[in-house]
Amino acid sequence: MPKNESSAMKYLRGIAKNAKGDFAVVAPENLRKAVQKLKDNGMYRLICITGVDTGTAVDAIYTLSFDGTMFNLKVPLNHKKPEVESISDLLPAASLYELELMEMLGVKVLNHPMPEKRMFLPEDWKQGPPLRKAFIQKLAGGQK
Amino acid sequence: MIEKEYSYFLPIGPQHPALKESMHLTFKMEAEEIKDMDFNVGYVHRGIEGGMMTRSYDKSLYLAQRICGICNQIHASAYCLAVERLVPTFQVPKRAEYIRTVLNELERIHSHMLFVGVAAHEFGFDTVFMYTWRDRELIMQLKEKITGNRVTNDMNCVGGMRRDIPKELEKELEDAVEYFSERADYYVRVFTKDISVQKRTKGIGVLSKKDARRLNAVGPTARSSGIDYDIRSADPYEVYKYIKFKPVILEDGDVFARVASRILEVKQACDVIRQCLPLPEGKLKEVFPRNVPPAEAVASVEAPRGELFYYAKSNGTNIPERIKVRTPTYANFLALKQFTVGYKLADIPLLVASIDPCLSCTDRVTVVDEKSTRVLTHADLQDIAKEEYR
Repeated sequence: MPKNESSAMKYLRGIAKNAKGDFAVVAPENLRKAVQKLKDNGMYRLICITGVDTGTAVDAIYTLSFDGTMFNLKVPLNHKKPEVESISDLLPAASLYELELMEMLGVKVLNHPMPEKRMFLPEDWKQGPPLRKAFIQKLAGGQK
Repeated sequence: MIEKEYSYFLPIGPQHPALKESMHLTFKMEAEEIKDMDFNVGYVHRGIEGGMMTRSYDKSLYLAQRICGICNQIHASAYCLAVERLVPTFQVPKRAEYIRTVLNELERIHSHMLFVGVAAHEFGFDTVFMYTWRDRELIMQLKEKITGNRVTNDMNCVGGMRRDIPKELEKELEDAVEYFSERADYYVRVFTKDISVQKRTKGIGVLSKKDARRLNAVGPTARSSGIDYDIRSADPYEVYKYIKFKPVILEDGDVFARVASRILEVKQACDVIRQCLPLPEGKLKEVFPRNVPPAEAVASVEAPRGELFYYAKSNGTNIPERIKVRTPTYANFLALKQFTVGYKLADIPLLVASIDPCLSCTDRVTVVDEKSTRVLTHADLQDIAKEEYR
């Protein structure tokens, strides 16, 4: 894992041009800088933002594409209180996927343009984020 | 002379004659002109991603196939592709790749014929709707002959295909694609020569190339605005690695370009199927390990509506840790919001239909009865149905 910002950018550029579907771990505070640097190098397409609850952290995986070559930035967030900054001013499509992060995994996305919007869950849903491990394990009883 | 400007919010949906599936759109109107749009989805949320996290890989494949009725084969292919990439040394047999591509392209033809009919119905040309759906019937019967079912066919399995295409049906496939090539030419003539169709679709709902790029539109919605982004040529998978393929790119970005690009893609799909035949000999499937070692993989395929993206994560057991599906209609909603602004109220059904929305793909939530802790059995549901719909 590279230590300072400029070697991180060299690392990202290196894997983006050669590797298809590779994953690079990026700390949450470096995320916006990484996306900005990639935009300056000609990347404009965000494919998806996936949230994964691994048990020890909540990973937000940003899948970006250089017109066909996909690569992923994995951002590990705090498990108890996951927080990440929105990148929807850099890539407008991010606002849709960050809604899923907020609703289904309980991640707090700072500076999101529509923070109150409920897209998938009903208004009176009170059982917590449905894609967290605790919720899924409750569902799993008897469904194997 | 009306001087006051009438400003109001017009809600369309979730049930509305103009919409084919449930979504909620709120248009901010001034007299007859659209000023802004807001959308809300989630009415067909069924809990598929949560369901996949509690079922084995084979059972989750059945769930993946049932995400959408119109593009079910492509969802199954994409799921298989993502899961097969979890084991980097795994190689699907060639015959299975060819059969998967043939079925995906048949899916694309029937989906685009459906869309052309629906679009024609939206701008008032019901005869074309009847003609396209009659032609589509040939594809559905062919699919039933090949796979046993018109819609959900379950031919895929993780590692290859479960069933084969017999040699006798290859001749029927060839005849079908010849017929469809001619029909695609006929529909191009109908749409370009008819004045009322041109008046209703040219210059309506223009999505500029800059906006399509900035908002990351996918599929024919982006390709009809001049963006060259087709996964089949940008990041080839299955048979597209071996054959000649060129995406259909149009420049205008209006509703006419979106309809025309789909008709041209029907012709292109016929060409791909022609290049796939005759199918190479070989095995149908390789054995995929039951307990998949921990890994992560992503896969992107070109569904009829755009780029379909799957993310898979394994944890050493036979149950996936996480499967994430990103469907093309969800990605196109920001583009829809952009290109409806400035047009008239009467154009709304056509504008919404022109991105070819598939809401069953978009909502994949779970079912939990939150008002009580009662679990409803099949018999209970039948009793409720008899009561409510008497």
